[in-house]
Amino acid sequence: MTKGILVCAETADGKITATTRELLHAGRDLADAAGSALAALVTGKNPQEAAAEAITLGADTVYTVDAPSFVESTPDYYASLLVMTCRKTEPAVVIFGQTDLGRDVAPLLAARSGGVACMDCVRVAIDTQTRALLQTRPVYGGNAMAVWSSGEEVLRVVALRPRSYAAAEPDATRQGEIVALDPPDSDESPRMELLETRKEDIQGVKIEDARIVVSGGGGIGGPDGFKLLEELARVAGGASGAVAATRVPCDEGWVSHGIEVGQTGTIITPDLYIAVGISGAVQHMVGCADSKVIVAINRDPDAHIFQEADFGIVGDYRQAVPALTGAIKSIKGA
Amino acid sequence: MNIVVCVKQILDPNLPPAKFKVDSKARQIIPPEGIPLVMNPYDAQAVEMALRLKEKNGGKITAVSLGGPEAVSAVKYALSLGADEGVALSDEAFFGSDSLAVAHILGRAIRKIGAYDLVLCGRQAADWDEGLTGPLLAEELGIPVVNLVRDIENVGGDWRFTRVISGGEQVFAVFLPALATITNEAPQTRLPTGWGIISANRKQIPVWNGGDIDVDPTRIGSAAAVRKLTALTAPERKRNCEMISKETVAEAAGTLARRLGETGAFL
Amino acid sequence: MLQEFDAIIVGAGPAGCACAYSLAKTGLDVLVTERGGFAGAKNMWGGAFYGPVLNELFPEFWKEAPVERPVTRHRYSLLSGEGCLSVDYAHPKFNRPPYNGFTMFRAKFDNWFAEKVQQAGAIVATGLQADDLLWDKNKVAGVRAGGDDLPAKVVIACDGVNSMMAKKAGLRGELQPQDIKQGVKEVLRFSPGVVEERFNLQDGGGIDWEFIGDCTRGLPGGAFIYTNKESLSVGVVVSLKSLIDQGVRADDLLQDFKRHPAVAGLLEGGELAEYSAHLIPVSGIAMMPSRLYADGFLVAGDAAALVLGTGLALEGANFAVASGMAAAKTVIKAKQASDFSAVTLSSYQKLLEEGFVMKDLKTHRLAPHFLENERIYTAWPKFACNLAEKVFTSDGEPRRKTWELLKDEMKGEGAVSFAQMAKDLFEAGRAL
Ligand SMILES: Cc1cc2nc3c(=O)[nH]c(=O)nc-3n(C[C@H](O)[C@H](O)[C@H](O)COP(=O)(O)OP(=O)(O)OC[C@H]3O[C@@H](n4cnc5c(N)ncnc54)[C@H](O)[C@@H]3O)c2cc1C
Ligand SMILES: Cc1cc2nc3c(=O)[nH]c(=O)nc-3n(C[C@H](O)[C@H](O)[C@H](O)COP(=O)(O)OP(=O)(O)OC[C@H]3O[C@@H](n4cnc5c(N)ncnc54)[C@H](O)[C@@H]3O)c2cc1C
Ligand SMILES: Nc1ncnc2c1ncn2[C@@H]1O[C@H](COP(=O)(O)O)[C@@H](O)[C@H]1O
Repeated sequence: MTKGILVCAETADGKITATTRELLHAGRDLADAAGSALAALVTGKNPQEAAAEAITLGADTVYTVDAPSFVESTPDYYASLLVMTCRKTEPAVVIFGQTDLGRDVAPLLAARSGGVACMDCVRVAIDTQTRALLQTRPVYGGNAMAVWSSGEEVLRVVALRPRSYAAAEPDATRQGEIVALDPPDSDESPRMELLETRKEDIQGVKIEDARIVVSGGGGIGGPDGFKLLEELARVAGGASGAVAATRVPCDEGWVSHGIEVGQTGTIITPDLYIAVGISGAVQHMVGCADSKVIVAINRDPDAHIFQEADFGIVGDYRQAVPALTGAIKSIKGA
Repeated sequence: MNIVVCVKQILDPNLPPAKFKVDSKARQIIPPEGIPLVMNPYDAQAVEMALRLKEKNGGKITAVSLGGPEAVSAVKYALSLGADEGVALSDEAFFGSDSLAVAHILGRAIRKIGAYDLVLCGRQAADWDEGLTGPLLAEELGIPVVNLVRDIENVGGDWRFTRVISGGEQVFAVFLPALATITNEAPQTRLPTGWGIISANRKQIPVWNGGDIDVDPTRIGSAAAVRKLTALTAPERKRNCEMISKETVAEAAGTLARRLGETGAFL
Repeated sequence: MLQEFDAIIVGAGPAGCACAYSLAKTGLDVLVTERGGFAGAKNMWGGAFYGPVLNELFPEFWKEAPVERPVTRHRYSLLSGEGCLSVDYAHPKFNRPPYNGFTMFRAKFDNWFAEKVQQAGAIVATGLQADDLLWDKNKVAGVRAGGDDLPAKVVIACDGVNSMMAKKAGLRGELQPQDIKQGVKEVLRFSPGVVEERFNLQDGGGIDWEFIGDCTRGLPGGAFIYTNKESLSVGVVVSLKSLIDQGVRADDLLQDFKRHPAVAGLLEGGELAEYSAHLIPVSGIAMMPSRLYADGFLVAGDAAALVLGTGLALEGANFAVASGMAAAKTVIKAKQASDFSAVTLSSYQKLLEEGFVMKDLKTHRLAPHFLENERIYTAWPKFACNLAEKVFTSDGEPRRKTWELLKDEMKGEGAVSFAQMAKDLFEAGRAL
């Protein structure tokens, strides 16, 4: 039997996360193409429920480790956990999300298992002839797409960019096996210790979960302008409307870094992305380019963003945004 | 404290997209003529972090860069910002090295540099955007790594690394020597001073080859790379923008709202 | 670390590099500050370096400098409507040492030159912009750059057409649009062999091709094509004042020019590799500062408006090198005498007067004024092209004598009259 595909699952409140559902989708496709099985690793306190969910989402086998979750432990601990799991389960490919966990652990796992890692991929496929893993990833900030091939002689570790795959749909009739593994021995002489995890208070929906995102750039000019954007997001999107930003407002301190969209920010794919006072730099656009509809409001008719949008208005946002808010209000009210 | 900073010289990531010419046949990006390479912006922030640490805690900063002739420029730039020493790593045998090999070479160079407390890398090099080298280098050196670090502080003799995570941040106590990859949320970079540039230019930058640092020749270069680049293409642009131009912005907004309404976007 | 340099040179273009190289060779402690990320980073020219002056500095420079092609062929064309009337001169001697001129790229040439300067012992500090002059009473005492005071016995401003340093030294005022032309240029890249084939070039030779007429929509200026190894430099140079007055963008003129039937075919399939724009001081002596020196201060190259623009030729790089070398000679003397006062430094201006720089500029002092004559760009190309068209057209009608055609041509609306023709020819003879 060929070695299988292992997805490193993440959970939130005991449920499989949206990103992990995407990984299970990608993993299922790979396993089917390779004629092998799909396994998932679920960790955390009482992982059984999430393990069962992973089976409905496509896993054939789920390994569980009753251990602290990633945010409660250290990268070192999770690297040992993954190394141990791979030693026991001998996968051909391990799939992470390009998340905090994936960014930390994928490279360490590859290094410690003599494997090869490929980060921030948007597509993975198996070359059915050579059984090499083909990994597609944006490079040069999104100015080019690269495909890397890694042969099956070593463990292949990939991290998949969130929103690159549709989430796997649950199928309650699926059958699978759940295998509990022992957690790794806790480290006698730890090299690092987690002192504190601070989570920002987010009011309303997270930008990655919002259906309508109104995003502001350097053109907003200060924190006050964002109030107009909030109003638009609320009127157009209600509870599923959110405000995001480019790097400029975050670096300037007008808004929190948590709402940055782009290569180093969050990748989002809302139904509607309204880009206000945004020039359309690649590093930003890679974070929102797969939105269903993109609207650009910019006072510079030559702004690059207009080449990336479906609808454009040239004008000062201070007039355009309230006008749009008003127009949507009256349409919705009617 | 002794700090080593790994810096890489790259094509300016802020160039407009038209400047990135993709040669799909040769599978490489053709750099536009006459445009200087720049230090990877995250590496510049790593240098900034090192400078701040040195200002508070004293010590020495050594910049290391692997590459062709541009590696010397990267080191010079680090010196002009205030690094104390630097070394360039250049050897034809390094050509085609993957992240694992780069980490091996950097690791050997750092061993030769001598005792260190902290190694700083950028969160990723903004050319290939991978973010692998830092953690792989930590493994090579056998030291712990914290990614996306935005602050490093000494609190009563303990080293605290604050790093960015999705929706928040974490603080770790870390035992040195350790490696940190520096994120864009870290402090912005200062500009080099006049005397900084001049003294950097006066310095002879040592250039080490594979033999100088005792690299394992079977672990470097394109022959050692397990992962192969099989395609490089320009991304496709998918959208056709409908410009809504009306007498007034208010009218345009009205039309836009209607058009969006038709797409079902907000209903 | 407050150390005084013998000389600080602002700008690592041809003027600055030539000056710094000469100084460093004699052992002076020299700093060059260049604001670009490397020397040549943001610089441009049409593409050819003419004359023997570089050979003086680096004997047989073509063996090591990044030259593209020797210019072995000169062509001048008048454009009118779709017509094009040309004269072409080629000589094999242009393809033999010491050659007459070479096409080169600034980015490579300046970088090479700066490398030589460094090898000679000077510091070329790139990414360092000079922001101000330091003063010791009335004497320039260094520059302020990168937030630091950098003292020097003498500062040589080689900072190009806009020379902030010369302005700060009080030697010149703001640039006036009528004194400058704007140049825009594209480099179009071709597959190997295409350039030779399209321009019929042999033995590695190259062409310098200048155009006047409809390529600038009649505005004072012209267009050019230079051949490089595997690319073409294509550009227009137009009076800034007329661009402003007419509300035209130089780039639009360039795009028009590229579509002209006389050139469109030659440019076909070229891949845009580079685009740049730059100003050129073209009023010659009329715009030169009356003094090119002050206490502890000299100015050279474009900063001193040492550019020759006759319409037949646009040369500045060689003047820049020559003036940089003259400035160096002066500074070496001053250093020997430990005297950097204006009086000592004034010998710089004498050196320039004696050399080809001022002689050429004086010979052509009327050229800038002559070149403002609008007829050169409108009536004349039209006249010449129409005439040629009639001479060469074979339409079944009985042929007429050229002289009669010429007379006809002078009758039409907007045509050149005999009197104007005589006047223009006379002035051209005096000016060029
Ligand atoms: C390695 C690297 C990674 C990066 N990663 C990211 C990333 O993840 N996310 C990200 O966002 N950026 C990222 N950036 C930065 C990115 O390259 C751009 O600099 C940034 O996105 C620009 O933001 P902006 O468009 O908001 O600002 P600007 O470029 O300043 O554009 C402002 C726009 O607003 C318009 N404007 C001004 N005033 C008004 C007005 N009153 N009304 C209407 N329009 C107006 C202007 O015409 C202009 O187009 C990265 C950069 C690098 C080098
Ligand atoms: C379109 C065009 C076509 C031309 N064609 C030709 C031709 O075919 N042949 C020819 O001989 N000449 C030509 N010229 C003219 C020629 O390019 C210039 O005369 C020549 O480059 C002048 O040299 P320079 O060293 O004086 O100034 P520049 O070449 O302008 O160099 C000035 C340098 O100073 C730097 N600098 C400026 N300010 C500062 C500061 N404050 N601090 C630090 N550095 C500073 C600049 O970055 C630059 O590197 C052409 C010019 C143009 C624009
Ligand atoms: N050639 C190199 N020379 C020095 N440092 C490097 C080099 N390549 C990568 N690095 C370091 O590793 C970080 C991550 O690089 P990468 O893994 O290529 O994204 C960079 O920000 C640098 O700090």
